Order: sequence, then C-alpha cells, then structure tokens
Amino acid sequence: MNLAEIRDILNATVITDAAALLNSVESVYCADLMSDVLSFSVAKCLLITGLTNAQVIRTAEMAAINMIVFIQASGRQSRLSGSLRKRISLCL
Amino acid sequence: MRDMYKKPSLVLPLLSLRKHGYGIITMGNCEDGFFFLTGKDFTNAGTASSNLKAVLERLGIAQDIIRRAAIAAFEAEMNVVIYAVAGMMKYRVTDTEVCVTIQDMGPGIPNIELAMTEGYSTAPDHIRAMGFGSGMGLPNIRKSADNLSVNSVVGEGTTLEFVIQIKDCH
Repeated sequence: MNLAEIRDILNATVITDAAALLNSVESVYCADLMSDVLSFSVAKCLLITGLTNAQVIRTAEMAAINMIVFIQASGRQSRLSGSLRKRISLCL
Repeated sequence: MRDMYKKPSLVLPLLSLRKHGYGIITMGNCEDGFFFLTGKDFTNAGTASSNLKAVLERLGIAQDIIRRAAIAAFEAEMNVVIYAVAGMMKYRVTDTEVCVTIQDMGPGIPNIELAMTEGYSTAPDHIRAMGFGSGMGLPNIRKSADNLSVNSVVGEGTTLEFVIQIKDCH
C-alpha cells in the first residue's frame, strides 16, 4: 500500500509534494505521546497522530519516520514551518 | 578545557560563545563538536539533535546507530528545554563509538533512580499537551544507548552521558 491509497481511504488533504504519494507504507504507528513514538515505532513507518506542533516533525525526524497523518487537525497544519515540513512527507 | 564541561557552574561563561551555537574539531579519526541548548525555547527544540544526526550521516555512520543516537540525544535535549535554563550537547565520534554528553544548568534530579522509572514524570500540563512528559525520556535514552551515566546536583544541574558502540564504521 502507498500513501496515495491511504489518502483516498481517509479522504485526506496532502500538504507536501505529490511525488511523496508513491512512498510505500510497510507499517503504521499511532500515538499522541512523542516518547512512545521514539520508543516503540520502527524506522520508515507511517505515523498517525492527533498532535500538530513542530515537535511532531522533530520526533519523526529523529525516529527516521518520513510519513505522517494528522487526524482531526483541519487548518492547524499551517503552524508547521516550511523548513520542517520539507523534511517529512505529510498527509492530512 | 574538557574538565570545564563536567562542572555545571562553568557553563554560564561558555554562553558568551552562544552567538556561534556550535563548534567542530576534527583530529585524526575523531571528531568533536558541541551545540548550545536554550531552556524553554520550544521553537528551536530538537535543532541540536537534528544537527548531530546530520554530523553522523556526514561521517557515514550506519543508519541504525544514527537512529539510536538521534533518539537518545533528542530525549536528552528535550529534558534540557523543558526543565533547565540552558545547556550544552557535546559529542565525540570515533571509529568505535559515538559519545554524547548533555550538560545543563537546571533544577537537578533529586532521585535519579526514580526518574529512570518508566512512566514517572514531573512535567507540567502544558508540556504534556505538546506530547511530552510521559515519563519515558530517560528510559528511552537507556534503551537506545549501550552505556548511560547520569549525574546531578539539585539546584545546579545535570550531566548525562551516553555511549553507542559502532560495530561497523559505515
């Protein structure tokens, strides 16, 4: 399964470049606690979270996660700075 | 000069170098560097760990080692940002290991053994709202590192050092 399929299933809005939609998703981790993400996630998984702050991006970067789905976060993604968003393939 | 890094009371003079933010020294097969950390600066929190990760990638360290080092450094950096006034992240990379020392000026840890317990946290509500303060920070560092030492003086600060062995350099 790739990000494009997940986007369609979730009816999500993509907030990064379209090329990232081809990224294959092998595993998924869901959490709102960043330390749990660092402790229990695996590299290159898809992260699903309800938090929408810059530290989510940082946490994902440290954990080698490059795909994030933000849930119930309409409009809040604008708070994420452009430099941080470039590091991650995002899907809302 | 290196002994200065081990004494929390001497970090303050080093803040005069803050305008540079980092330093790198390379000698032979060893690279040393440091990054300054600012307490309560959540906007830039994680920058030092991100820079450390970039250094390790530049040096060709294996990805699993980089991930472990980045996770441990980030947890330690967030502890400084959340609890301390300021701090410094110092690293040394050799052919055999990655050694990172995080030293801060802060409240210190009264009971280190208790702080190492999973789920134990003294984080206030606004920190938990950001997704931190679950009480997994120090346990995560211990889990990621091959060796970990924590020394703290209440009312002065904390020095945390972790080492990750490099099995293969590249």
